[in-house]
Amino acid sequence: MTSARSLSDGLSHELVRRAARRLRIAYPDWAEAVLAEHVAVEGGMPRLLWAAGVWIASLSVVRWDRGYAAALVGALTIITAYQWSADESMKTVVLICSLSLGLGALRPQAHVVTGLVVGAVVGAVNAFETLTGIHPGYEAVHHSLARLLAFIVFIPPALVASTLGRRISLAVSDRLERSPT
Amino acid sequence: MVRLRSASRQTRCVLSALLKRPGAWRHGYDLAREAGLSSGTLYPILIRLHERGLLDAQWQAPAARGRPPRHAYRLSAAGAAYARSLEGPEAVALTEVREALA
Repeated sequence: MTSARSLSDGLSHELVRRAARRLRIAYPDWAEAVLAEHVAVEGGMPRLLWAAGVWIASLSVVRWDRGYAAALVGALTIITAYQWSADESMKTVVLICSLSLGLGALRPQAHVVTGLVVGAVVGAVNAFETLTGIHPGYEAVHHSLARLLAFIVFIPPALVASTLGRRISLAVSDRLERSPT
Repeated sequence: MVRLRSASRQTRCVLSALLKRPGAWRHGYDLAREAGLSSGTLYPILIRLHERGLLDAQWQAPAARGRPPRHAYRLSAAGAAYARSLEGPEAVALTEVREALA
């Protein structure tokens, strides 16, 4: 009986902690309020029900984050463009930009290197195929030097995307630092 | 006064519970029990009321050592007026008598 109660109290504490973490971004005071009130609620099932209610409430009252909304719309646009485009180059650009954006966000301090490396990889692979003759069976084209240099075109969008990823990452961490813990 | 959409039944319950002791600071758990609402319903209502200036909120020092400070709520002047406007004339009169006796 005691272990069941401590289990439910542990679970309710975890639910309230997660709810508070979600609430803290938009409503720091309310996040602390539910954490404090949690202790005042009678232990066992009443506390667990109360915590579950708070957790559900935290899902509904958090303000829609504009940055996340923009990122989500951007992701949907990219997937739609990727799905509808029959142009392989367009698909390559979408893939390179998406990866650069993610990597730029993951490691903001290396965004320039990220953009350069990810943007240059298509040219590098084609140069490798041309120089060594090693390539997949379906890839029979040997590129001229001018054609290989033309693959530099992928670098600017990769750099822009990795820089954007860096900015998003910095904006998010700045926001988290400003919210009280 | 802030223009408001018609209050839900749950919001009326919260306002009514707060209006029973308009000047008193109340805690979330007590309010939930009195209004007969779950915490998941109560807190979004409290947040909205507070954002609309109908509710005052403050932190209160813990009653016992080792306990965290608690968030307490009461109706603001605008909130009390709004809560009374939602109740019928009989309830308003009753509240006025209760306040006069307090």
